[in-house]
Amino acid sequence: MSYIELKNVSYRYPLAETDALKNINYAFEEGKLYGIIGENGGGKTTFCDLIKGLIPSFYGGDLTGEVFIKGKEIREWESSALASTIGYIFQNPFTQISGIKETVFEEIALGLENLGVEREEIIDRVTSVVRQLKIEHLIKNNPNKLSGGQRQRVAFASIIAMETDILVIDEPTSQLDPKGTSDIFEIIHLLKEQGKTILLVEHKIDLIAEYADEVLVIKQGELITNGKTSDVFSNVNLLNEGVNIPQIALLSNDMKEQGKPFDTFAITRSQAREQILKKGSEKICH
Amino acid sequence: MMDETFINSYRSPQLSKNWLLNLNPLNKINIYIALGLITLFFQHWQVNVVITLVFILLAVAAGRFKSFISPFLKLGLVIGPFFFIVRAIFWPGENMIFNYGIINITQEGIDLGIQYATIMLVVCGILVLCTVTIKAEDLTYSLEKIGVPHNISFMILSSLQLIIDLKDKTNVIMDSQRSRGIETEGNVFVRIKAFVPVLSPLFLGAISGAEEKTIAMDARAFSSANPNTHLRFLRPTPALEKILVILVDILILGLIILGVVL
Amino acid sequence: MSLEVKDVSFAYPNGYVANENLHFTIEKGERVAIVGQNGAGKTTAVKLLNGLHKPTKGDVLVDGINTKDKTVAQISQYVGYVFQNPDDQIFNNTVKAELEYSFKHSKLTDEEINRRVERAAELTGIQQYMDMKPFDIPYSIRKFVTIAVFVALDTPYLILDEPTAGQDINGINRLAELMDILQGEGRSVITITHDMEFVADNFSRVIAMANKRIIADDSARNIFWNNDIVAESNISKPQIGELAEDIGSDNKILFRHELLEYLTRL
Repeated sequence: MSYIELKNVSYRYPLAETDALKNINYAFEEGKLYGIIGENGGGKTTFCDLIKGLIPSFYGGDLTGEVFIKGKEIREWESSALASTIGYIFQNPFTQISGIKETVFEEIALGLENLGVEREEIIDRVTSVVRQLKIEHLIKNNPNKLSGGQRQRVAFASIIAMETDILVIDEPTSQLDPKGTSDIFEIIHLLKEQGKTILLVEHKIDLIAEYADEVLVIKQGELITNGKTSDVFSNVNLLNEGVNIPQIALLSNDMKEQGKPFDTFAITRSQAREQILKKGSEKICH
Repeated sequence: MMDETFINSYRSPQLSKNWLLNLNPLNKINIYIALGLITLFFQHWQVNVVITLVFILLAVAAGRFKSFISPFLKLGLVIGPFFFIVRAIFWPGENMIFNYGIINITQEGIDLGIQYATIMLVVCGILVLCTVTIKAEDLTYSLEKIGVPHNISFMILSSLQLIIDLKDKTNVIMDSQRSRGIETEGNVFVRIKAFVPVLSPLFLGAISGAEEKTIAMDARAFSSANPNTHLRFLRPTPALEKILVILVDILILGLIILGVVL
Repeated sequence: MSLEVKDVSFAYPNGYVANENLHFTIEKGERVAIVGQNGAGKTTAVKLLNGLHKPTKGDVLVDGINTKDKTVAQISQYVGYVFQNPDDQIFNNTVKAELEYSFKHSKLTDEEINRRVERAAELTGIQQYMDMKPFDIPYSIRKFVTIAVFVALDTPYLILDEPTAGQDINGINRLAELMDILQGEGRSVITITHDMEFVADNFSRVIAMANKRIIADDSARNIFWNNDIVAESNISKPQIGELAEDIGSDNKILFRHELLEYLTRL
């Protein structure tokens, strides 16, 4: 069974003249990480809001077609039940902190308090998330006084503590420095290993190439391409569609055009390294 | 390293070493306000001064004198004299001391001014004492325990944080507008003119921030129908504390009755 | 004519030292990227350039004018500063009004103002949004609105704080083109950024900061290929550079065509 399924989904914001999403059909499988890419204003965030259940309940507008989350149509979900099924993390580290808790430990516990989880279990779950994300040193700090990168890690911890099976993550690193970005991707990698189903919008294309199992390209509200990450990025013509292609994929393409292709089309640094070293040793052998 | 002692602290009620701080927040407010009410019934400025002194003593007893005295003086020294001047200058009376145009200083006005000014000291005392001896989250916890819904406590707590955030945000916006060539340094007119470019981003930012925050809190199951639990909790009010509060209330009621009768 | 930072230190009124002994000069038409971890002092450093901070030691001279003698608003005629968050800087009802606002007290003719506003809109690609409310257009475009404000003002120095954050490839390409044009006119662009591909592609000079200080001021190539500097400032090489290092190239390769050439020669 598909975990999340969209059938002929179109959506138009209130007062808008055109559809923000146009006739999208797609089925997401359990345990995979999906990269969602494409031009700004093309509909990536709208797509995320739809899966999260914010459309149409929060934004209004016209939704046609059907969205099934774990087999149940989205309009039939109680919004509180959805919150314990789908976690949502977005780019602004500041608005995701509640602003009502005095320690990071309490901040992470907030969602569990709202769900009515008993105190001992809250303590267990928060402690274990804190360990996983390696933020032991932050638990006594005031969440309102952390740096952007630290806040974003706390935002992740707060959602992970709720143990949702699906995570929708919308540009989590756009306001972070390289260190903050790699910390966040370490977390995303961890979540993937735990078998979570993840939808990730991210402009840093090298990271999508490295972590995503499949990629969806959305342009002007349409799903224009999708498939295995390596297949999508081996199509360098997507550059003309406003899609960024990893430098390594472009290099693989260059090699192909020079008549010296890699045995397999590399899209990440480690893949390219392997191919190049292999080529090098072949040369020496012959 | 995980700080186990810190985590364990959530397993027992939040307690400090100070008996006054450990009182239930609602009981603290009860005592402060009851003390303040005395002023309304006695109408002697000397009584007001004595109550103000009691507040200062309470701050000392709570070990919070330092954090109490500075905001109290700042607030009291602005509001107190303001009320004094307004009353003293404009209040009509028989015993004229000085008269020039609309300025009309009478003995009655001065007396009333002192009365008002000292009542304001008491009001400032209550407010500052509340802020330095009660944690906002403890207050909302005790409110929830007596049946106030938890989205109300969220609104109270987040408004407090909003005030702090708005202050920081104003500074950033001021900087960015000065960088655009908007003069914010100088006389009153310059500053007033600089107001619009600061207010509008502040206002719009607050609105879009509120929308995002709603979504973020929705993801934290804020709309959950389950009764919520509390990680951090306070002790049930001890019998002795209940008796103390009732005694204080009775004593003050007695004083008030005495004051009215006299 | 240049922007001179002469042995400058800066401490906040509470005593916290944020910059120590900064010393550099930015010439007319130069393009400089300032890189380093959050908290390294990058933002404080650029705030010294437009007078938002006044040095506690040393001097900052903008075309010979000491920033200590002028208000920020006065210096803004020379040094434009586009903040990271455009929403802090935008406040007019339409994009067009936003661009025209800066000329309120200007002695320029209406014709000239119009010409500048239209050109700025064209260079930043926001013409189609001119009559819209700024908050009805996407965030990534709003960033270009604040950039356009200073392009129209024609400040000789322009500071961009994280211009690529949240931009797609179209936005990044537009930024690169814009910087080329400004440089062609002899205007300097100083950029704070975490985007190392953007740095390698667009900046010949890079200032790396760590721990409140400048730890290197050199070409992008030399900085990215100095592992000590990369580690200390907590930045990373662009992917192609990393790959070149992985396979043992010591030619300081940064770009795809260089690596391609190296590989095809192999």
